[in-house]
Amino acid sequence: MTRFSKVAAVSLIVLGASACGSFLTGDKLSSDPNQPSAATRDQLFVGVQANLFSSQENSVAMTVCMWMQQCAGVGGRFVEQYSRYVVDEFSWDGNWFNVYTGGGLIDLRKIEASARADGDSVYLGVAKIWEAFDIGTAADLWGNIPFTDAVGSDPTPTLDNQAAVYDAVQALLSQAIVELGGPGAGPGAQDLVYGGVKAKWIAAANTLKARYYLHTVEAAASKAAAYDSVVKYASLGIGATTGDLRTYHTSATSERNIWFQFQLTTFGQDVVAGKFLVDLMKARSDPRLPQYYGKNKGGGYGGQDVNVTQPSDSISAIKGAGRNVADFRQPLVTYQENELVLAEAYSQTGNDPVALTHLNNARAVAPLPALVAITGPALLDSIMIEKYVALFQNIEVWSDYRRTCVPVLTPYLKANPIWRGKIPGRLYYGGTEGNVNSNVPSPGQQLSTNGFRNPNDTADCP
Amino acid sequence: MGNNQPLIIVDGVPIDNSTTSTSSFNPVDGGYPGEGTVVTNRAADLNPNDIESLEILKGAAAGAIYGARAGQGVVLITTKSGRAGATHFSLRSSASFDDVSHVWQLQTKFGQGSFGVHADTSVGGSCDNIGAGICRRSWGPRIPAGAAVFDHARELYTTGHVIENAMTVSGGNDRTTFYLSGENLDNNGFFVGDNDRYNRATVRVKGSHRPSDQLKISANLSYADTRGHYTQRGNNVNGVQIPVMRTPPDFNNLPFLDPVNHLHRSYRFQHPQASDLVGDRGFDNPFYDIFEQQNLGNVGRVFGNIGAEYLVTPWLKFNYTLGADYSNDERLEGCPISSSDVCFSGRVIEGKIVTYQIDHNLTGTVNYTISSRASGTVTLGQNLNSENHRNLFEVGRSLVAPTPFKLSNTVLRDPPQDNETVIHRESYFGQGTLDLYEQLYLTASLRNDGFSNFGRLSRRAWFPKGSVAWTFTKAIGERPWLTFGKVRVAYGEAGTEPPPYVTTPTFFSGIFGGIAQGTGVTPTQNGLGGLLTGGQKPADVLKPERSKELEAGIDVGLFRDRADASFTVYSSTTSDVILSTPLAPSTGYTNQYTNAAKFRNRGVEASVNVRAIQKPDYGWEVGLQWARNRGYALTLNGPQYIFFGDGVAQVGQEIGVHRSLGFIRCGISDPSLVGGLAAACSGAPQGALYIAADGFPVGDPNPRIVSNPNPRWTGSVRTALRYRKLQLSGLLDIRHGGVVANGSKGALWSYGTHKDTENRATCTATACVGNDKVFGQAGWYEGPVAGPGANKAVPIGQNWYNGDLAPCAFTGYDEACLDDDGYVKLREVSVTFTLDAPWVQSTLGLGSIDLRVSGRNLKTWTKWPGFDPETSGGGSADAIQGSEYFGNPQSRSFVFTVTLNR
Repeated sequence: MTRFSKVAAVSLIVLGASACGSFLTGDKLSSDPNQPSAATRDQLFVGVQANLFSSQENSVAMTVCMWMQQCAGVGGRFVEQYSRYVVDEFSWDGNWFNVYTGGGLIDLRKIEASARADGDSVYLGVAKIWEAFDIGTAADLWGNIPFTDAVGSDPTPTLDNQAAVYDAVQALLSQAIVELGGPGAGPGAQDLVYGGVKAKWIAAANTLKARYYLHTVEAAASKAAAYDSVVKYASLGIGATTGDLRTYHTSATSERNIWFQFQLTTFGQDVVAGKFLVDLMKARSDPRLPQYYGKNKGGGYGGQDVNVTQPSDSISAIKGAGRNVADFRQPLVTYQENELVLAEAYSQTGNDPVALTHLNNARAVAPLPALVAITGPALLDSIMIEKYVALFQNIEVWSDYRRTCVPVLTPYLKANPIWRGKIPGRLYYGGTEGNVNSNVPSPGQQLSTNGFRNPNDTADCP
Repeated sequence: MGNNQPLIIVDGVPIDNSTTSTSSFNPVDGGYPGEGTVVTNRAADLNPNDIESLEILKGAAAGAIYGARAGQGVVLITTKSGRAGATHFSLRSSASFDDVSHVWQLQTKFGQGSFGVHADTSVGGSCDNIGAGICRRSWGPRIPAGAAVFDHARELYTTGHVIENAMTVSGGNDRTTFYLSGENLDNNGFFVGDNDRYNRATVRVKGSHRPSDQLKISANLSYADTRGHYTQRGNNVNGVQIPVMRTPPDFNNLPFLDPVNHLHRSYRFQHPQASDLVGDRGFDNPFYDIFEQQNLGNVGRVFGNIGAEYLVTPWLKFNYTLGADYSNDERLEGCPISSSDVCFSGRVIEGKIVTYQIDHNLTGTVNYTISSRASGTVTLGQNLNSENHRNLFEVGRSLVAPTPFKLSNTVLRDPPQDNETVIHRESYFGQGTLDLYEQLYLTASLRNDGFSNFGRLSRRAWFPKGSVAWTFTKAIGERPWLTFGKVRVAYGEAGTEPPPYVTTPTFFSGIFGGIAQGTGVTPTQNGLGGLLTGGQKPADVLKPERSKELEAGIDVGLFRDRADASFTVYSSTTSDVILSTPLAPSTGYTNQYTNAAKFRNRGVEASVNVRAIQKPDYGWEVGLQWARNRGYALTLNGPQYIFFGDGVAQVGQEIGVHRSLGFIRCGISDPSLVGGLAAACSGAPQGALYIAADGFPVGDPNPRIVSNPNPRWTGSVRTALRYRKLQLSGLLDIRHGGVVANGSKGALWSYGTHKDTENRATCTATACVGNDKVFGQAGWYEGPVAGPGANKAVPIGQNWYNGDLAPCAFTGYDEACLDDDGYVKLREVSVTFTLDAPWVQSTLGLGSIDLRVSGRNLKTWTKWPGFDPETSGGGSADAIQGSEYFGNPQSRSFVFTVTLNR
């Protein structure tokens, strides 16, 4: 028995000794040794820019380019399927993430909170412009979206009406313009677009205000008032191409332009030139044709038509000189857009001579010769066509088309009848949001609401 | 679900049994488990000749012993030991011949082209331009009689072989035993060429010694050296299956180097010029990938344990085991310089996976006897475990010179991948048994587990178990027809742990924001460090997942042991199932590990063995096994469904059902679709396929559950015939039911290479004629139909197979290409002959010689049109095999074995 006692005592010591230690906690056990657990405002701001740049260059931009027939899809795989409106709730799930999750709204709010706490009004203003651009773009693509309840404690944020979201976007931009005049060092070198130059941000904010007022015009109670706002802010907008808001890229592997990266992959080669824009530019003798597209096998330019298969050898790749390079900075909000926004607003409010001046300002950038003695509907059409060409690869083209139905595009005629013979008017909400958030209607319900158009788009295009 | 692999325990110590694809460490190119270079499971480092016994514990039984790691079952392996007595020598040699059990059926009648127009395959023609749509597919004209066609279904395969030699020496005396073994295995796989092979060399030393009557000390150590060359697979144009099966039948993939310029040629890039050393080929030539890629995994691994057994008194024993498992796995994935797509201009992935696990196990066991009719044991124990993984990988792009495949020979490098995990576990357990009247057996146990990977509030958990078994024949007496009978009931709880570090917030610095494979950016830009808030929200409260299982059964021996039968029913409820649960992204996060669900599993297992003939010189026995299992999701917290393997968990549905897009159907689809589906469906039965005016079905925009990949039941038939020293045995496996989305078939339809496309309408870009089918009739999407185009005959050709619905892999309409993956498989037939006649001893000096010939996977009867219903694109990394996309084939083997015993 004594021997048993000794053994028992020893074993209890062994058991006890290990039990009271910190075997289950400590370095590499309690926290992730692989990822940082804290981030500074500057680090988040660089990350936000990387996200918002790529969001404007990836799946949505590719889809819009194809649906607007600046691009086309071939190859029978997902790219061509997208071009034929074979899409579902997961087609842009990732883009929906990018609006709100890391690099999107959640980080913008963290940056804003930090800037407020430090009294850096300039940083706050720049962050608010990015927030307005992020949310404004989401309202363009999806219509009614979560904003008031987003990135808060509500697990299923309600959808705000698109008009209310545009109001919030205008408010953010107005605040930002004021805040940029306030104290603070701002993002400085962390600002990959303007290097911290306040005046350029103020001009860009005004152009964005004009853009978003223009997006409300179709459904506005007073179109004249909406155009007046457009003119008011665009007049304070980007005044030279040196003020263009462009993405930032380098030739480092993970910093390259996404359009360029995609062209290097097997799927990316499925995105090719769209016949409509190629033919249009050829007819205009547009000097930008070689910048937008590569030469086809015959040494000329041609594109694919979603309805009439074109010979392979006639089709150009999206490999324009100057644009299809790793460090090409994709223009997002530009002097040309600002001038064409002014032109459209003046034309719509009966001031054709001023409209023509602004149209010619935009054409001079191309460069294209000035137009003379053109008025009325022909002038408006010229303005919208000019914008359609100038804003190549920019998703803003889709907003213009939905509002003005210019240019006249033939939808894919053999599409699934759920599309009613139209080019889709918006994107499906992301499937992940739909899975969790019961405020999001099913894809079928989205199709049967307003002809799958956003609330600001009151009428179908032909 | 943290891990869907069972826990493997060798001699009381857990070992690593992970399978890790090298491509998992290449996030830029979208690598994920099951794709790219997939190497063998680390459980393969165990020499099978060392295994004395193997026991599989499931559910409750596993949980009592292995607690929160046992949720996916436990495999208990005991290795052989030396025995007192004469030294025993054994030498075993086996040779295996392996080929592909099943191949895809491809068409051989129509050539490269589109809409009946042949692609220009001359030098400088359209097929030297990878953008040329006309060269991508096999929708060209009929191949003229007499023109060469090539068998792309079989051309990559030859007969592989495995040569294995193993020896053991064992023996000992009453105080000391020893066991030594060595093994060398050379596996040359069935892909042509020298880059599909695998070599394993192992040694094991095991010994024990009793310094005193009370104490036994032991040691057991194995070293394994495993080296493999592998092929790439899956959704990957640098893998072999996508390129080979999409090649038009009139294009010869050989030679894979251009005879003039000696550069990589492929069907979409047929005549490389001297300047085309670097250049995309559209799809790689599969032979180029097989012969020129280098995909290596070299593993050095040591695992084993030391132990002591101390018998304090005849009724008290202590057992101690300290085990360790260390492996270093060096990887290389090298794409040569003329590769396509994400391997453009060559790519090198180099890295290593280091794992080690240390396990400490101490138990004390008391044997007690209350009376002659009541006795039992009580065991108390402690287990400490430290599991460590470290992965360090780097991707280099654009080779400077064509060789070597070294990071230093690349122009650009991706951000490095550096990931380590450490998990500590601390457990205490107790078990008591009580045997009454030698017929009633009671067991109760309780385990307390502590885990570092749970949150602070729930670091420890209890897992109880209890069982009762009653040998009722001891009470009622044996009958001539009932020689043995036992009823048993067991209840137990088991757990599953979450992955580490899901409870703490992190910031993300990796690749994101791309469109498809090979694209993306980092938050860091222009030399400025950037971070993003991680999409995974930290788990705030996470409890161990807990399965509660109740099992009851009866085992009987019948007709003087001429037969036995066993019947078991079980029902388990798993609550607090740990899943990566989607969150509404508008909250700022995409997912969170939560106790998301409650699952229920119910099943029945039955077996019957009949020893029909039992004579000293000959015998015949037959065994039947049958099992069915149904797992359902009972509740789900938050989302409507959660992805689970390739399928989803959704309330009221079987776990793992496949959610995808389907056709518009009456009573299933939203009635507001197609301008009033309800009216079009008037009078049609539920589920009738809606046919539009053009005679074709229409895609439904609302996703739904389109298939259930779970089998309805499984069974097996086993038989053995014995005549003196000759034994013949066979095993037939059956899996009934289970429907899988066959993405490969959809893709091959689109490419016009699938056998189904051999019957095709003659199509131009605007119209098709011939090969008329009526949807709903004659085996063509058979079933009731409704709608304006119902019963209309329509031509089926490129319009359908390469259209906007049928090629499910590209359109997402998986309902278009579902296949039943049930099968009946002749798993194994073997003949064994033992030579132990006196002349063997006298002339050869041997105790006995065993000769064995066996065949594996000899024949499969199935409706599945792919390689094999048992293979899938995801492989063993998938919890549920619910989809197929260009996986590799299964092998059929003939194995010859000779074992010399002395």
